[in-house]
Amino acid sequence: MLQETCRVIRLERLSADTWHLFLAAPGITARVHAGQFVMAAVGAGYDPLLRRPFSVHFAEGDDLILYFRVVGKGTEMLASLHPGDRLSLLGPLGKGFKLTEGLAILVGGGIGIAPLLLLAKELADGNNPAAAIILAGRTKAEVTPLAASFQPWTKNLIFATDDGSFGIRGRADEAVASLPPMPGAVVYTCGPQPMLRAIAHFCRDHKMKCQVSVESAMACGMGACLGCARPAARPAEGGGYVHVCLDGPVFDAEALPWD
Amino acid sequence: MGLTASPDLTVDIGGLTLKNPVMTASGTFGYAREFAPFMDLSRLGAIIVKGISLKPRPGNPPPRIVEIACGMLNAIGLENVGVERFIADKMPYLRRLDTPVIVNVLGETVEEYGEIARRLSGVPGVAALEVNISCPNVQKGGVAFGSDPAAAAKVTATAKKNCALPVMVKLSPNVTDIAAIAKAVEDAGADSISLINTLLAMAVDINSRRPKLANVMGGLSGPAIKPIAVRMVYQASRAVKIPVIGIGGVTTADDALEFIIAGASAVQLGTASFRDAAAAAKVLDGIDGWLRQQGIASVAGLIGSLRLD
Repeated sequence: MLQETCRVIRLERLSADTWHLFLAAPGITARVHAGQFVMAAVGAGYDPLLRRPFSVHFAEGDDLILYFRVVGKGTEMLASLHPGDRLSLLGPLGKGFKLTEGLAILVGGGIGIAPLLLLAKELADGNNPAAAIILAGRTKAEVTPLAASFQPWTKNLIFATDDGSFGIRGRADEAVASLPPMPGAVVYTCGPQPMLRAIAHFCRDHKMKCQVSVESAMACGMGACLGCARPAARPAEGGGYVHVCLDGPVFDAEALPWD
Repeated sequence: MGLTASPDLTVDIGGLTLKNPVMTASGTFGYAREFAPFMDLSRLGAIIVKGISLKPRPGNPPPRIVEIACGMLNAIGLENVGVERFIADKMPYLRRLDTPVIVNVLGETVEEYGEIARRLSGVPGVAALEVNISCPNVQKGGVAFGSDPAAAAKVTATAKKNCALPVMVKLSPNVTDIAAIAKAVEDAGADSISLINTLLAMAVDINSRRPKLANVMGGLSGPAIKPIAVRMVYQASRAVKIPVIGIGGVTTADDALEFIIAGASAVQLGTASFRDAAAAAKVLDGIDGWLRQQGIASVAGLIGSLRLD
């Protein structure tokens, strides 16, 4: 874990509100595993004050890529960076995906697609390339710009859109349910809470292992503020919560309550 | 032109001499070990660890934090491992550091404050207690004691009676007359006071029309509260003879110096450590640099040096 002053290589606008940010971050890139995150200090002033958490989208060589959606002031500032600008990242943080034996199914919804590209690469590097990757979004315009970067890592790239404008019409969890049975498969997923809930239930019902990456507001990203608490499925003695920054952001689905 | 010799950074905070006036505020620095990758922890004037209660506390339901302009609200609810696990699991690391460890303590009753003080007294490596009578985010204890001079005095006297350690009492800004509380705590035997804890605050999501914190209200911290904190440190330091420790939005060396000139013997960094994990070390370097630049030989001479003429 380190605080690294990174150089902005370039920004790519992918859709109306989604971006790829390419950074030179040799220190973090050398250490990061799929599913881990960084805290980015956006701007130099006091507003925004806190760093913002982002899953690492991809890392190779010295380069680190973030995939983000503009949702507020901090991400607006991120989207207005220029090549050569500096950005302080704290990371890599948290527990990422545990690469497990068995067919791998990757399911991302919306900006929750972010951690899956590095995971797809790590699985392929480990000779277990993803049996299927499902990328779900609202519209064709949102998901198609991601096709090229995911294509090399699987033979089965599936799209799902809310409006049916591209791929399967419906949510990511409906796309999972439409897959042929894959005994012993492991589902790795990240996305909005209702989608994660549906996938967790599906996996429980079909006796599939499931790892979910969840998000939370957090101030420090490293276990000092305890702001990112989330109820635990099986509370330990004296504590009913897990912390997304230290215990996650990736959890076994059964470690969290979904009902 | 400045001095070539190193400025004397030592300060007295009431029964305890610190090598410099930079401490880390409770609840913002974990149990210190989290920050070891970013700075030499032994450089700190003192470390104040996350508030400890007699029994473990799970804390409040989420969402627990929300950012606002130049600050944040938190309603963590004093989640902590409890005093026994703190002593067993956290102290072995902390006592190896070459810096005083001050333990922030909280009770739901006056008796609990006494009990936890007794438990920590004599634990190797514990240099002092910071008695928290100012947490706005718990149902019982906390600010319930910090908003009434008589109750604040009772907690202070009980903590003092039950341990041989210096006792710093952390005061709430959510009071009308900070001088009265400060005086009451001093009279009850406090070795020092620290202020301010967070300001009771609230934020609303206009679309859902719900509070942004599950706890409805929370404590405001960060640069947004600094001028209030400086004002209250000024008022408190004029009311008491014991050292006053300034807390509230300290982010830079200039902020720390502002508190010291207003009357603080030392400062605590809180929210700043979230943005920059090495913030405390940078503040320390900045104070040292400023003193050299100004040709000031000792930081102690700067305490309360506010000019009003």
